[in-house]
Amino acid sequence: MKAAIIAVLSAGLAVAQQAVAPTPEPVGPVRGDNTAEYNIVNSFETGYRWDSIGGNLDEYRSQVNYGNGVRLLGSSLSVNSRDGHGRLFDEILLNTQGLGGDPYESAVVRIQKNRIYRFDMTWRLNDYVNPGLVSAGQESGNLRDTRYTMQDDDLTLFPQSKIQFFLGYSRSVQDGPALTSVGGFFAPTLDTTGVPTVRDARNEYRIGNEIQFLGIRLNWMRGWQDFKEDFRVSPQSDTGEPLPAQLTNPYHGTSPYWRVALFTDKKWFSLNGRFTYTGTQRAFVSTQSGLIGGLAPGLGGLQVVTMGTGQRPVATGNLTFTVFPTSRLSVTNSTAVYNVRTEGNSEFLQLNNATGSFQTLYFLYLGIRTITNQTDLNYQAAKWLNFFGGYHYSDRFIRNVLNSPINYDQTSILIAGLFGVRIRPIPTVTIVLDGEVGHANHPFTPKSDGSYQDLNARVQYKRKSLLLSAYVRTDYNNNSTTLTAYSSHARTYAANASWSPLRWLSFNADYCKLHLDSLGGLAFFDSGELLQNQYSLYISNLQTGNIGLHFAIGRRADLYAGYSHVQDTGDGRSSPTGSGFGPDIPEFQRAQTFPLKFQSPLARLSVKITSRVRWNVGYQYYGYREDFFTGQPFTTDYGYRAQTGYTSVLWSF
Amino acid sequence: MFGSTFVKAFAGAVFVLSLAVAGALPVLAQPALAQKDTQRSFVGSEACKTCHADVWSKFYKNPHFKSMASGKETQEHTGCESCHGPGGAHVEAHGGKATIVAFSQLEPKQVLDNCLRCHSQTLSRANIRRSLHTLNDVVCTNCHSIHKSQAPRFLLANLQIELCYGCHADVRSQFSMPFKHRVNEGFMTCTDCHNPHGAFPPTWRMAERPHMMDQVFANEEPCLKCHIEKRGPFVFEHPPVRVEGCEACHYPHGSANSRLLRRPVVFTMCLECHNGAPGFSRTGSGDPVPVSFHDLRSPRFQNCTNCHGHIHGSNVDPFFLK
Repeated sequence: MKAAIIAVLSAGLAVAQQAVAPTPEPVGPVRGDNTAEYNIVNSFETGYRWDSIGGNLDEYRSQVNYGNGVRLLGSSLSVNSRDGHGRLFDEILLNTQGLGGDPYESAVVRIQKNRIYRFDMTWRLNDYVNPGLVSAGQESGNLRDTRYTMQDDDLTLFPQSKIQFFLGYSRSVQDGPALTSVGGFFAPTLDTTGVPTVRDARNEYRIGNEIQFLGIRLNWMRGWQDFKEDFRVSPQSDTGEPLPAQLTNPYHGTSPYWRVALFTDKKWFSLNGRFTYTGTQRAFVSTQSGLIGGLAPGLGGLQVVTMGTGQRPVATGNLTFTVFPTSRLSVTNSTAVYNVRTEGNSEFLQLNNATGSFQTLYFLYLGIRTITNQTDLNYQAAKWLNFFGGYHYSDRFIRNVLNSPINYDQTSILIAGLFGVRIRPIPTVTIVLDGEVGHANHPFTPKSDGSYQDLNARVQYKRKSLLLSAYVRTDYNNNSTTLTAYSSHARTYAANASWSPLRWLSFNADYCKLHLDSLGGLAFFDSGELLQNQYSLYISNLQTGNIGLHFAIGRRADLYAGYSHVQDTGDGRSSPTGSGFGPDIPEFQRAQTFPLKFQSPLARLSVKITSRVRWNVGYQYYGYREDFFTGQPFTTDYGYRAQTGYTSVLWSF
Repeated sequence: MFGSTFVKAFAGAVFVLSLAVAGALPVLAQPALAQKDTQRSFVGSEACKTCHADVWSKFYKNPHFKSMASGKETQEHTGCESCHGPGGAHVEAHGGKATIVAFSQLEPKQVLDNCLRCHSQTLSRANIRRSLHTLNDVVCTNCHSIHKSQAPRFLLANLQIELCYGCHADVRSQFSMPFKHRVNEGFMTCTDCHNPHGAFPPTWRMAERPHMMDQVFANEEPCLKCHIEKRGPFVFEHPPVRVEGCEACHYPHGSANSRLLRRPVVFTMCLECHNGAPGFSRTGSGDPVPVSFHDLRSPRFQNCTNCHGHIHGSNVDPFFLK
């Protein structure tokens, strides 16, 4: 019986695994061990992970990033009181993954005592690298090699009572060398090296309460979020000599917020309302010295200070009311109001060491107010037939003040309708067809939703351990104006099958094709000549497939084999230039499609040594290739081939 | 401006709700499943374990065991019968799904009603009845398994990503891309950004899509929970970031392009907006075409963010150069 339970659990856990480790197979007695008043279930997986990379290491680190070394690949511990009356706690849960050097590490903790408290903690680390990739065989200055750690702590007091209290603390830190779109300088004219070390830190404190009276729940939360970013860079010459120059950029601020919500759920209606307000303020100073010409007065070196403050208060309100006039009909009306304004000043001071100084003060304002009302109906005409539909209305007002007395105001109204039908001809089959049509009269950008339509169809067959589903979705958007055209067609076709016919066998496969063609109007300069009324037609035909097969070999071993494949066949051309739609310029033609291939087969064997010990070994290959950017005018080959694997011992005590 | 729009929006809402409430009045007294069951007899959970020993033996680990451990709840709010209804008839008949509330036999709406008798009292589930999952008959037992859970928390029937991927195969494919958020690697979960129980309508873009997005810091797009350095405010905002949200330029799940961008080459993505077409942009006069020295045949001008590095917003430079 125990073996059967383990086999069934294994089958359920092992399908469609994307990363070869940690091992999902359970070890030890499923029901755990009893000690005094508690029951304990635990497992730990310790092993060695290895990799061997050929090709572009930077690309591998950006996409996968598993390395060599000893790891605590995974662990699981649960302690439960057997009568629900533990002295200090009734439950402890601890789950970890990748500790000891994996690029994706996490730990999740829950400790609770029934009716008294519940504490949840999530800690995560991501070792992220991007060597300035822009895909198209080119390199950019947006480098990043940072470690991102994030921790959330939440304590709930009296979690099952009508009066609850919440305390929370979150912290996230990102540090490491980075020249990035926010949080780093980039001076393309400087012939220097020296990447700043960015350090972003967020601390958030929360306190709140929920109270029930007259069948209504009132929930409020007060929070304070502090953010600071500090870094300094001292450029060096190509030979490593320090230059008489410095860049610093402290950026600090706080975001206190309120959230108040009222909600209730009754037999014939459901009502909730919510109000939030966040007041954000950031102060910044940016200094540069000696970057041009050095600090010596005679050379005309510059010292620049820019400083100021930005504010962004946000207020939102929601009111949602659902009624159930009959057991077959529900009507929901939801109103949302959103109001944000971003404003601030930026004072620019520049001292020319040779000639003097000047000052410029910028002030900008961007305000957005959106009011949305949505009404949705869901009607069950028969046990096997449902209809649903809705009417959505949004009104958005934007005000701009661009350092001048002129206000630029604009209003856009979006009206959308949706309709769907859900059919269940037999209990095992569900068919859903729905569509949405909408129009916005003043989209903000040429790529925004203008006149759009979405159509969806989904069929699902589910019987015992067999699940088959297919899905088709089309998104068409047309946002053309008199002088330019924008049209985007996206079609998605997906199918999925999973089957666990026997306790020792399970299978999962899925396939998806994502087609995208976007026509956009262009205007740009080509060798000093303005080319207008040009078009780009970007075409992507992405096909992905995943397959996983798990089977148990006798009672001792489990074997899992999987394969993941991603391929963009582009627009069908075999050469990066000389075809395609749009300007007859090679750089454009090459950018209209992006064929590539990414594949990852994997296999894992897990052998039960004893009832409490398993030995595991796994292998995973990653292969990446960009078809048009190898050996072309942009000669960086971002392709790589990575052999990775691990061996581990999974044990329980 | 604000007042007239608000009045229009509410007028429609009040009209629809009035019709709905009027229609509801005659059926308010409709007996619910639980009410009908209370007419039968409760037997207590001790009787259940006689036949359902496998369920009982590990039930002390189940979050629902709290109601039994307290010993203070009334019969209809504790133990097996709090969900399955009075078991008297079931015991007398020596079992059978027809004599008790068997969730496998219930309509999706009945499952939802049964669970929400207790679980509606959480803010994160305040919108569950209007969520897309509910509208599509995806209710509690589609994702949660009360007695055969395979996840350490929340009684999930399987690992969270497998549950989501089971229906959203297209999303699974997006997370299989070369560049993606690390969901498959275990660093993130779907619920970091989504609320599967239904969310408040989003307040960014035109509030129409995407659906079921959670909000962080009270009212912000979930991307900003981790990418907080891009939250601003900046004196020089790149307006689409605030107006359209991150999805204007990025695919949030995964992409074949680095940095989850919508295009493989940066300049084509930028130029699709910066084409001078009137009617768009913050001024309404079109997003400006790059000035003449941007010779787009030259590689140095094909990566716009090489120079316009602070593209999400800058405090120093209106052109996001630094």
